[in-house]
Amino acid sequence: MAKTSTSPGTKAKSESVLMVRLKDHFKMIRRDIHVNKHIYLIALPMIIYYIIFKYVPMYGIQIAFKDYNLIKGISASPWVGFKHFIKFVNSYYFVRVVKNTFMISFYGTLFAFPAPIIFALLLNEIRSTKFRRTVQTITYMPHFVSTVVVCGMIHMFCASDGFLGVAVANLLGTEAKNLLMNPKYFRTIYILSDIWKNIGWNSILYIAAILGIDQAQYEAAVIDGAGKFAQAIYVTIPGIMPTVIIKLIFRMGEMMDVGFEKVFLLYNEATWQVSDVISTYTYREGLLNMNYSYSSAVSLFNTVINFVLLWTTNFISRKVSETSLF
Amino acid sequence: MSNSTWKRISSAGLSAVILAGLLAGCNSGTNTSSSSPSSTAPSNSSSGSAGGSSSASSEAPSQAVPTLPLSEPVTVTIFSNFNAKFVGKVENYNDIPFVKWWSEQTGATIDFQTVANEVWNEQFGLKIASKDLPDVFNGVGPYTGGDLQALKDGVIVSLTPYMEQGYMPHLSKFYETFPRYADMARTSDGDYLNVPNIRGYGENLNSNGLVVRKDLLDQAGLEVPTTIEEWDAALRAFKTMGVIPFSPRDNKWLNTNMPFISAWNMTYFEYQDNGTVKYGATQPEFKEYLQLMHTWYDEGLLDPDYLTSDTKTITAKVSAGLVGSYVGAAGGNLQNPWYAIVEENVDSPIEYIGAPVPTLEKGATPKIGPRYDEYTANNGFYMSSKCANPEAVAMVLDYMYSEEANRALFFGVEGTHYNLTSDGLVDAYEKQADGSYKSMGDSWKPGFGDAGPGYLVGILDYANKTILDPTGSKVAVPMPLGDNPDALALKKRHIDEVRQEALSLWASFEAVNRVPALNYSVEDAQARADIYKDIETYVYEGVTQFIMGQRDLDTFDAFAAEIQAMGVDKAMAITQKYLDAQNGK
Repeated sequence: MAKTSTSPGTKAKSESVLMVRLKDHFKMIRRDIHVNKHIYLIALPMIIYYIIFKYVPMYGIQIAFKDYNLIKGISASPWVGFKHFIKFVNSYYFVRVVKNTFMISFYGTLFAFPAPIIFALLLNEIRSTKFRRTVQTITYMPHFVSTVVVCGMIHMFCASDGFLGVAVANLLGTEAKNLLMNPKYFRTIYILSDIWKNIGWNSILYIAAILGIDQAQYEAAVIDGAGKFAQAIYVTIPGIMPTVIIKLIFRMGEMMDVGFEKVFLLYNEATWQVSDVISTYTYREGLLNMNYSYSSAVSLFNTVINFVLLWTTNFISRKVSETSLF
Repeated sequence: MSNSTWKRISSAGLSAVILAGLLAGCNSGTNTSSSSPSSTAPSNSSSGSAGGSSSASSEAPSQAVPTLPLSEPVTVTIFSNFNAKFVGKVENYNDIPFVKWWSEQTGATIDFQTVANEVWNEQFGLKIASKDLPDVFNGVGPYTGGDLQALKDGVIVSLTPYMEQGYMPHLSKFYETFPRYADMARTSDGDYLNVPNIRGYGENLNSNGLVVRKDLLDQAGLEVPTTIEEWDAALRAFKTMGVIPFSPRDNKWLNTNMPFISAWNMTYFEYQDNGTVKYGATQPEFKEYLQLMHTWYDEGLLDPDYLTSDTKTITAKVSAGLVGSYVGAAGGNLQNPWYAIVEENVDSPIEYIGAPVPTLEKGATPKIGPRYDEYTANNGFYMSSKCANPEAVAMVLDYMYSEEANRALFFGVEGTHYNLTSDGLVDAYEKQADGSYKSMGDSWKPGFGDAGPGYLVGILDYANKTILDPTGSKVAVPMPLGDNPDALALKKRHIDEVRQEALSLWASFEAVNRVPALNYSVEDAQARADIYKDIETYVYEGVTQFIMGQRDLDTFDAFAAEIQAMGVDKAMAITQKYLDAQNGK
């Protein structure tokens, strides 16, 4: 404000306006804290968590640009610029791990993302509360089973004498082979098991969103002659669209994040060509070979891509649908 | 049972356990050192009661050096991984009777900080990053660049000064007596960095090998297979009998234990041919190997689930009698699953026996096979740079190389865990009222298996089986017995005959094509590792694809060319340089 004006009076005035505004703002916050102190108290652990576990460790990101030496420590290690990033981009497996990470994530978004939405829509149509509750409980139970256990089960089911291994062999009329040793099936197994594990849990949010839709809209739709299907298309889906878009933006931010655990527990030499991802590569380089700087550089590279994707999606969403994170 | 030699350990054998005696035989492959057994023999009779001080003081060059046990209380913290053999038996190495005994004898409080094997590498890095270093590292394998780099970075310190000042008389004497091991342990700068872990020699270096079901072979009217052709026939016979013909643990297992690739006198990776370093996966013969493995896999002669198997699944399959052959280890997978079988049912016809390293031509001697190095860098005890009482710690570590400690590592304390008989034999068993025998050593090594605390890295880490003494007679180490007396008889026979035979069959090759352990400089080691790391990943993956038929064998030339393109020649040149130096070229 008042950029061109050099009059001291105006400047003082504008400053005082700013001060007044700030004061008002602080006063408002103070009042808000006073009024809603319990809510702030509930939020406090989360805020502390983020400061300690997300912001403080950012100090360590610098080792990606250094030759980190364990004895010398972070600050005393010499700077090497982009050396580790260049090494990663030039490494033999660069294209492969980036591509695999993207493909698993892409298929995950394509199939695993809509699954809980469809599930929530279907569940919404069930009229028997008892039955709906039962289905819901059963489907979100796998979420609480540890990944290690799930992978152990997958190993057993997919073995040459496991029920899935035998079922697929019978279906295709071939000899039973271990499904986890076939690169063609890796992504399918990965994503299907992911859907099985998380469909119930992830649908909770959508179910809540559906319950929040004003019943009057349905009544209006019925009066207009809409059937069940038309109600779902024209009322329910638009009603939960903001939730879906926010979730999608989050999902985009994780596009290059394929969880380490599950891939690590399921992959083997026969499927490396499709299953070796950035996180497993980072693990091997960083923790097994103790190349901390290098693996930090790889992780940072990954994070930057994720951030760009998140920002882009958010930008597009804001322009197109007016729903956005920031 | 009293006539069973396995219970009795000759005193000559005892000397074998004592390093001095044991290693005399391998000094130059012949029995040149007669002084060694004679010097150790008298101390046998006074074992157990002898503290470290008596022998230490007689060897110590300097008067000023204190003797053990230490007069001042000292705590020695040792950061160590935790051998899987001990899992479920003790919480920590500190609970092992031997470690308590070691503490008592040296007057030091020995405190192991152990971490599980699976997280050893991570925890090692965290430990160093935390700057809270222990007094001693039990191995520095995870450190990038190994012990040399760790010394350069100031993580560990050289032991040479302490040896020169006479704090480590036993180790000094050992190196003096066996310069061969001194050469292996000494760095290019002339430093001794560790109290090493010497594996021994001869059969001790071969504890893995092929194992087959003898009863099934008999049923098929086949002999123990020795050639690839005979193996082919045996596996086909097993297939018709409804068992999994061969079950490797995984692809890496298929290589490192070299069950079949050794028939072509090579490995997947580096090997030498008359002093020339070569790379297995690029050789034309490698294609033949892949062809065979592919055929075997395709026809169901290899376990269809081998890539997703681990030790547990294999052991379970072996114990259930579902496997015709596999790779076993003496002291481990060779007998343990089978012990479980006979403990359950003594009449079980299932019997596993060892088979030799296979060859292409009958009667040929293989030039390579599974073998450990006698000395492996980055193993053994390393003193950290933050060690509070380096002199005292040097003495405590050095004590591991004393005769008493060696004997205690395997047999325990005389009078409590074994008795010396009038004719100088060790009897570790007590006759019970019902005529059965009970191992006296059980309290010394509750359920640890044959070697007991011998698994504890120090010296003779891996003596879980027989050890040759200088006179060539064999020494058997007692084993846990179990409850079933009928099974006991079978197990005894197994230990006596089957395992002995397996060990000698597995060692039935000349390791001339093997690249020995070479003392690379830090830079060369790093350069070599950087190249080989990517290539190894590529080879394992390629081999798997060829075996499983995902990749056509016609593309083998492209596969080999890709390895060339990844710079294999550069890495091989480094190895060649050091190999030539060692060969005196």
